Amino acid sequence: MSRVSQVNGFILHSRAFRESSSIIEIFTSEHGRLGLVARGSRASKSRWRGLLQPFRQLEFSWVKRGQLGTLTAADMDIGWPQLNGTGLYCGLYLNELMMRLSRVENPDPQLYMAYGRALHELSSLDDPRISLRRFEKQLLHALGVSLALDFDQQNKLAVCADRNYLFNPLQGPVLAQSTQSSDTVPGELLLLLAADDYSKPEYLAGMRRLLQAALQVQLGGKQLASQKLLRSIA
Amino acid sequence: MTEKRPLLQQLIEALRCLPGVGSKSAQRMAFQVLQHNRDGARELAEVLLESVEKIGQCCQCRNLTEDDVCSICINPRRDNSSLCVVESPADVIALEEATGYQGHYFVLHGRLSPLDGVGPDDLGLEKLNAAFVAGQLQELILATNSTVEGEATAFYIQSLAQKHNIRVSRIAHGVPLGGELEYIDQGTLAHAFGSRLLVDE
Ligand SMILES: [Zn+2]
Repeated sequence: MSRVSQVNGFILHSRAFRESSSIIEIFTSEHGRLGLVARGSRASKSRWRGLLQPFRQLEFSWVKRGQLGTLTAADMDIGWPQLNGTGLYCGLYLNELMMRLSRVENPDPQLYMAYGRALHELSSLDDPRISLRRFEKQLLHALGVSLALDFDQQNKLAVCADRNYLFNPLQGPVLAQSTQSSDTVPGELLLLLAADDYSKPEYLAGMRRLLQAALQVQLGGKQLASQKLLRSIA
Repeated sequence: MTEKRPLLQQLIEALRCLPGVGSKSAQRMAFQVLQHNRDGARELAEVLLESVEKIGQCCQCRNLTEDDVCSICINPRRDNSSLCVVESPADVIALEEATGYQGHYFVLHGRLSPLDGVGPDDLGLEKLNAAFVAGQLQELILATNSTVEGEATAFYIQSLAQKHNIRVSRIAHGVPLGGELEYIDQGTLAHAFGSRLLVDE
């Protein structure tokens, strides 16, 4: 049996379990992502009632034998990024990505910082696009996916800002023939994305398509429910 | 043929399907009715059976009823230009008791939860959208719970309604974050309902 005290983390998801309990999925800096049973958390007099909601940042304590741990304390409400409207849906999208792709009990302080930053931005900025793109790229990096955006492997040449490329998430960029006009990506976009530079609004849609293609490989082609939902009202 | 378990044991296990009933309470209930209240038990059994066979969803608002159209929907004195969306039948009762609301309801029987695979189809949102399209509605009150999923549901329905020029408000003030309507005291609920806010675009 292991006992863990006061670890900073976010709630990614919470679902009803048995009559009055819930199972929460949390993401912590020190222990990565893990599931915990919160006994009695849905009972009307529970001290956790209403507290164990997605996006909430708390200090968690738990005991663990076997697969699923048991929550023993959830203290010190560090913050509750107020996500509204589209921002809320973007937050659910982040959480779904994390639930589907992040590795269980694999500590990754960098990804933890990235997630916290993205949530904060979604609650405070009007335009979520840059925050989402930056997070998607960091998540791919955390999964060990190297996009090699600045090098054309096939031609063994560095990517040029003023040429166009075909991008395949498994092969990286390949210089496009001059006759190919559709589905190509400007070299400048690739270089800016490689440098985490999102300052050119005209490239954001292209960056999104590129990152989505790379994420789709990781997701095995399955569409995310939160994304589908957001698209149906957009 | 497999050996049949004693009836008493079957009864005790069946009682455990009730919320808050563990094996000890189930045993106590079984002995109570068999020793002291067989008439009450008979009545319970009959009503229970009739209920599960006959109670379904109102074809207009999806509230629980044994009729095609429930007593609220069929009441001609209620305002059919106002609709209040709630997550559960218990919320309808809570609002009916705590407020003087005279409009109609729509019961979702849940909330949007993409990570659990609960989508618009599971909540009857097509039926709700049909009511928006029909054009009688002027006011829509979003009384889903103040949880993340309740907010996501409210935003989704708001987006549907605003395509039809319906005034949308969201209950506010006093409903604590993470709060579920059926557990809130009546005063708080009445205040929250009375001070609902228009939802910005
Ligand atoms: Zn009805």
